[in-house]
Amino acid sequence: MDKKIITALFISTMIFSSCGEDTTQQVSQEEQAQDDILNEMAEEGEAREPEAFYLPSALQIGSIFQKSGLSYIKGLTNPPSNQDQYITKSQKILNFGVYSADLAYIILNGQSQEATDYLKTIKSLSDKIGFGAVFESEELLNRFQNSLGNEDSILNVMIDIQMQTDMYVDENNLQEVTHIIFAGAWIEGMYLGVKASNSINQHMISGRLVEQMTILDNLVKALRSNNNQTEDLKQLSKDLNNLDKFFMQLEENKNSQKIASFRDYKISKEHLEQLSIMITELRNRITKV
Amino acid sequence: MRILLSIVVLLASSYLHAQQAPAAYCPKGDVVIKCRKALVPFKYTNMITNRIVFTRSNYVKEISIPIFYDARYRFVFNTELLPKDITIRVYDRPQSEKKRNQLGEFKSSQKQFNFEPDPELGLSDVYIDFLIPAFIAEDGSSFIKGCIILMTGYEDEVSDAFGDGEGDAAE
Repeated sequence: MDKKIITALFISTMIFSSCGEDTTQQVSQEEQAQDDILNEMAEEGEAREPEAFYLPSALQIGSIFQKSGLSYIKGLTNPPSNQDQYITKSQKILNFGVYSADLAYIILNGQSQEATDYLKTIKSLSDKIGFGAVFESEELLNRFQNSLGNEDSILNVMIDIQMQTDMYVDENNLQEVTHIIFAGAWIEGMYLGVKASNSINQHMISGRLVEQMTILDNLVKALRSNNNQTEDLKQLSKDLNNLDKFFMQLEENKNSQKIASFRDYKISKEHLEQLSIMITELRNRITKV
Repeated sequence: MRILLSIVVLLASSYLHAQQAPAAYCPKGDVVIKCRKALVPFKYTNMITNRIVFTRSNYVKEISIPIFYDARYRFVFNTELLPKDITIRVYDRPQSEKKRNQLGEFKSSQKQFNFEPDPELGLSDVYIDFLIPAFIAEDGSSFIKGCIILMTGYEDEVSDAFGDGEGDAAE
């Protein structure tokens, strides 16, 4: 685009400089050339609609880990009391994602009392990041309260919240914000996966952790497509890209094309530990107060 | 000066057009309800609006969708907000790879259709290509755009007891 702007401006400058010339035909040709360039620019500008990046929901990721036997450990999630300490918008957006993953983890493990606190935290942060309208509905919040203790019902309410959020995002062109929210949710989901696994479920959980790494490429691309590249966002993209690079260079990945399913993926204990350390460091940087 | 002003106006117009809220050309309220019905009994996971711009050249727009093992997926496409027909193909690998298998093909004239990847393939991603044909308007200058709604859902092993995964959605 920049080159074409320069070309268009150059042509217009040439036209200005040749205003004194009386060759009508030449001016006409130049105007036509300029018109062609401007049309092309306009078309390219239009064709550059925001790219659609598909990212799964925090609830689905939580559900996947839970079905693999991820246990509930009290105190592992980011405490709601931390929310007031997040000052910058990036911190608020990222931790909105963190708390969303925490809420999914809590609900899927039947922790009703905590669920209410986390929903309140998410609602409070949503007001601060421009998503307040999603949680305005009293009916939705009442349904949430009334469904606590009934796993199927509460999951349906969570799905409705997710759907309303997706609609709101789409109608208000907030896709770039949701990519950052998803990054926060993904990192927290991975952190919970790393920290809540034990010797019994570790094989299944490690397969799931590795499976989740396949989302990273899409996530980094989505973050880098953001038009407002703040220092925080650049750092986040860099950290996630480093995580992706680490994963892609693992010896185990050399034969990954032959693996029928991530269920069969064997990651060495050493590499799993390295992955865990990287995820924990990243998560703690986001949630620290 | 008139030409410079034209450039500024054209650039501003192009920018403002690009920033235009999708609701203006993609009024999808009813479409979302249709997609949600078609998704049943799969659990909703995500919905994306793919903006399709018809320009003077043919081009392919590709998106990738991560999928996880132990789950069956349903992708519901609704194309009724497209001003012109396109072709949609589903692959197991991105277009950057020479060896890839086509998993499905649809015409947007179908207006709404589902795709369910075979879980036996053990895929970690599927790639959806939108083949967008060239377009030029009657006046030879403009171009048009529309959108495709893609809603996805999944079912896990809990649902196996309920049969073949066909929806009970109300018509």
